[in-house]
Amino acid sequence: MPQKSYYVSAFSKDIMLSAVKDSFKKLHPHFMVKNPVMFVVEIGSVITTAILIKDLFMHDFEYIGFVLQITVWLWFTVLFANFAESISEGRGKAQADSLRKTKTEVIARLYKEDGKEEDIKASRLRKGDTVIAEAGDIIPADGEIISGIASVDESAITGESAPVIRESGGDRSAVTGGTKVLSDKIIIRITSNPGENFIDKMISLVEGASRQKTPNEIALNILLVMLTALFLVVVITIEPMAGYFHGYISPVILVALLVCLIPTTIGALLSAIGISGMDRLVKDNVIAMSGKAVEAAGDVNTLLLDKTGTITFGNRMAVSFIPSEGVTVKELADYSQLSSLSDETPEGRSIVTLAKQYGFRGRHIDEKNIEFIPFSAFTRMSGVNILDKKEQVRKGAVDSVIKFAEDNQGKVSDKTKKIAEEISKQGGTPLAVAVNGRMLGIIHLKDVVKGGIKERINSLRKIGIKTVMITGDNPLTAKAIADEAGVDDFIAEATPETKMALIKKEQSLGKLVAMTGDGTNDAPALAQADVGVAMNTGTMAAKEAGNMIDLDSNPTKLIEIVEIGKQLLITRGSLTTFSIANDVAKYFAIIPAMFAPIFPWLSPLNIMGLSSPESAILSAVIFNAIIIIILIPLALKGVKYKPASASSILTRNLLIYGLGGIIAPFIGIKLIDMLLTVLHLG
Amino acid sequence: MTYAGILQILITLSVMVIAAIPLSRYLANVFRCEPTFLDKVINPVESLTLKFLKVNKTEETDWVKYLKTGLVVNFLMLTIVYSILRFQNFLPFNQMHYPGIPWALDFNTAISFITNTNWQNYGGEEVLSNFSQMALVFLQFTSAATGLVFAVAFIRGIIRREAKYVGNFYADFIKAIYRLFLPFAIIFAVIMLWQGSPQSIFTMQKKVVNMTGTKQSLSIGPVASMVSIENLGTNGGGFYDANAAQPYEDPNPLTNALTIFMMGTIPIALFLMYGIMTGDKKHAWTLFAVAMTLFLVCLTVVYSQEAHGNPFLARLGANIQVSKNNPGGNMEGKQERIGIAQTSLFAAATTAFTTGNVDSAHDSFMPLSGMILIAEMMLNLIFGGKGVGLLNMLTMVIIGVFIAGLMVGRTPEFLGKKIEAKEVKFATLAMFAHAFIILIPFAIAIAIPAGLAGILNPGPHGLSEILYAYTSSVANNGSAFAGLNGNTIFYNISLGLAIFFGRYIPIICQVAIAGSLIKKKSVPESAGTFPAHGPLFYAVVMGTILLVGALTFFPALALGPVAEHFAMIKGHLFY
Repeated sequence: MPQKSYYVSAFSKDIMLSAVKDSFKKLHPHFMVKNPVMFVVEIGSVITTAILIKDLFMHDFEYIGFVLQITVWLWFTVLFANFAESISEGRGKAQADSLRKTKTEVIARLYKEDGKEEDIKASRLRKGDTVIAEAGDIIPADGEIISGIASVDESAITGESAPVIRESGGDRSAVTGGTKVLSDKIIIRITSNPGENFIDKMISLVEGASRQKTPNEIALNILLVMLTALFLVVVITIEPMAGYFHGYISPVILVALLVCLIPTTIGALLSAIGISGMDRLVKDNVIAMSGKAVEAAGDVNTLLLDKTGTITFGNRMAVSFIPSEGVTVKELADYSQLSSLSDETPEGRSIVTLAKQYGFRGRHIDEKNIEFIPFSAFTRMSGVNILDKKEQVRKGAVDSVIKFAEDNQGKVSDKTKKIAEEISKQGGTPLAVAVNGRMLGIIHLKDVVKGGIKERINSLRKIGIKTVMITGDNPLTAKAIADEAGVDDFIAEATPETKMALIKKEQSLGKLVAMTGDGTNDAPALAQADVGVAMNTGTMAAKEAGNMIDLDSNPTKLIEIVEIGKQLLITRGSLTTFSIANDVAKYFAIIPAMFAPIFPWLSPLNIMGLSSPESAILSAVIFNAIIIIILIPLALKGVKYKPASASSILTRNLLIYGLGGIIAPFIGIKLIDMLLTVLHLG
Repeated sequence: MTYAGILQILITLSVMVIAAIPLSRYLANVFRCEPTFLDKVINPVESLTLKFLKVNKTEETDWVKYLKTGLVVNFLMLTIVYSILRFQNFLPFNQMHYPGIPWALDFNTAISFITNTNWQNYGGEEVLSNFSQMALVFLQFTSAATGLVFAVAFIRGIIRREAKYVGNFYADFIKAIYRLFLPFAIIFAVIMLWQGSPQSIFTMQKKVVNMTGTKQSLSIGPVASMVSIENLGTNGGGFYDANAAQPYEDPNPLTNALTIFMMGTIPIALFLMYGIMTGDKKHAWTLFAVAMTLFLVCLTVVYSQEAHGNPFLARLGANIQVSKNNPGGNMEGKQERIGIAQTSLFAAATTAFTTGNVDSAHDSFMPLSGMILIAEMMLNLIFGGKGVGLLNMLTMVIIGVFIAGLMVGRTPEFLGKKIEAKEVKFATLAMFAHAFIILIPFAIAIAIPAGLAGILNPGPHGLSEILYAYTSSVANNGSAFAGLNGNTIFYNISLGLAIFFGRYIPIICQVAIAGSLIKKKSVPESAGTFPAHGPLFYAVVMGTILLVGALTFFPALALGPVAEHFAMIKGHLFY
């Protein structure tokens, strides 16, 4: 499948350049207040800058080198945080730009009540207007076909180059603005006002313009703000304590301590993590209507999977030939293929393919000698008549073919009938093949489960997600497929109502439910589900009801969406843990250093053996700034996620980000200290 | 450290844990309104009391009403006791004709006792009439019950689903007093009486002939009854100014161990009761393990430091080695008859269980021991006081579960309830308030003359004295580092306010969490939720306590006890 994606690498030169520019623009307090942790750092930077200027003019040069370095690194800390956010936003903007290119101004052919046409600009179209589109026209806005049928190129939206059929009535009547009509003529009723079209929504979503904080992000923000306030209290108490010992500690050092203690690492990267989570969805060609939906995806307990398209390929396929007594498999395969040559259904094609395994390929047919009998609902058979051999080959529903054979003075053995029954019981479909009165045997058609689906369902079970297969099949067939795919539960003969009832039942147990859907009758269930993924090929109603749209219309995508949601939360939690764990080393770097003049005997606390008080404080500040830059790629990519039990995921992340978060700064600060000493900066 | 000492400690602790198990079952039954063996005796009295109060015990309220009722009842009792102390000269059982307590001291004392703190700036038997002492005993019952019922309300918030009502404050409150504190207080008062503690209302003096043959008057009063509830209720305010360092309050080494038993058994039982009520015993035992680990580590530091003694004294020629006739180690401020092991256990226990009763001068402990005692109160969750210890532990659990839960890739859940913005807000606010109310008044006190005036020792030790005072107040412990003269207007008021806000702000936050949790659906546990028990959960909770809860206090501790310790090693003295 040729895939086009709007995904743009974050580290392209253009994005980097504009991100650098934006980092400076974002220093404006108006932007900074939105991120309280970094705002505190900015205020601290302003304070040290003021002290630097004062020292300069007062000719107080004793510590000016130290103050200068601290000030520079504090500003870097703020800039790095802004840079992290800008770079993630920049990627979204680039994606939006590539979408915007498809949104050129088109002329709409407004269809008036008196039957006349008028050309107007698409931007003047209003909801309820009717327009005409013919082959070669760009559909001016989102709408619904009220008459006609056409093939439409939707690659502008989906990246899928194969045209799709759109027709009035039913589930395929929705058209999207910006797509191109390839054939025929349709009349469309416009369903959205300018600026509210699907493509507009998509642009604003990838751009992050309408980004709202998600519930977990809000909760995490509260934690970070409270921690910041807590460390502010800690730092406030330091000056009186120094005063108690008749000492004095420079505000520069206090600011440095504060900045090191407050959770700047996660504070700087938090919004980048959120934005890039949405971006990862875009990379997978999924548009989420809100960050909340992405987060909910991580929480999902129950997945409703449509059998067709998600679990199975959607078409029954021939899997074996079972000949009757006295017939060879080869003979059965031969006639089966013959009977299916004109059968253009997927089932028919699969029979032809299967027969090729028995050596029947490149068959030469004398068309004059052959008469095709198409399938009819009345006979429930199809086949060919071979005129010169006077052979009538029939393939179809078992009872119909038996009747055909018996009408031709044939006899059908009980064994063959039994085989057919057996196949039905297993959830397969038996097709009988007969030549005149002679029953050749049975073709076993089966709903084929997609490769790898069982493993994926297993890995979902490992992370505690229950899968329920939804199908319109009878319970027998449904059970066979369910067993084969390994789903936890299934619902056979499902209607939109049973789907809805299941969702409500699960939700009443406190569970979150995700589902996919495309039809108008799916809309209520899509709206009810916590995560409703609408297929882009689906109706407008379905797209409006869901909170995500899959541009590839691939229902299996639900599983990826869940993983992206989880990864987003894991990344936030891991970096928070890392940020908090870092404080241990920073304390051990700064506390002995800052009290060195007052309390020389506190030096045993300098367990890292940092060379001087100044270089100790400076090293901690530099580490604190640099770690932000180092972690930007991780924030954008997300912490590695593999489906596993909660305990093993937590153990892994606690070791890496918790224990690692305690150890890493000890090493980092020591290395920076050594470097500063070599460079005579400390 | 001696084998006998370690053995004494292990036996005392084991007996406490063993006794806590049946007690936890009993308490769970009490608060789940299931039949208990005391029903026959207590049911009639209880229903009579409820009838008198016009309370329908089946009528439950939401958290706001529950909290309001609790606070109003507390405030009412506060004003009553304030008045009793203020005007004790007009009231009975004041045979010594003690005058009324001055307003600032009274303010401090009344707040201190209503909040289960029992910080004592007053001179104990030297200033209070027997009637006033009994008024304080009254608060020792009610303050313990208050903490306990708020914890029960919190537990209900966890176990009830999509509900609104957390319980009936009056019914729970009376249950706690009638079915836990009163019966046990009576039993232990009798034991203390038997072991030698006095008990009287009508006389305040006892004439004795002392060892030198001269006549002496000793103060007596309702001592046995007060000793029993002051420890059972983890109040810690003794009859005598010297608390358990006065032999009438702690007649012998056995009562010393018994006192520790009284302090610790109920707080431990409350952790286990929580497990029974939530139906997740493994979870409760994991929290028990966290608290017990912290306790044992603290105890080990204290005991080893005290047993090791002061190297300065050794240099001056003092013998600090253990021998047959010499307990060795640091005996300053300790009682010979109790010894280092039991004193260390007592000190570690009284600060862990936030009792505040003391049998030694904490001021005279080695610097690192002193640091541990302060740190235990800063954490305030090593089993802790009645109910609040559990509440503080659960507050940390919520913060820990929130951070760790994210790392699993789901909205964090705690025992099936989602932890969202509201819970995080109140949990972090409770934690913030605790640190704020300790550190800010402390910073003010060391910066102004009124604060510095109270210090006895110069240098880092003086800093520790003030830090200890505010920590003890906010943690509602009530023990003092001694040394500091707290009976000044500045300290009476500032400590009184610290005690007040240190008690009620966290409780309000915690009950609010319960109010938010109770409304939620319970999400069934799956492979995707990480278990709230076992080593992993232990690590999460311990990590949160140490990294989020304790790190805040690092600078203050570094400049106080830690600096003193290193100065001692370097041989630096402060004059």
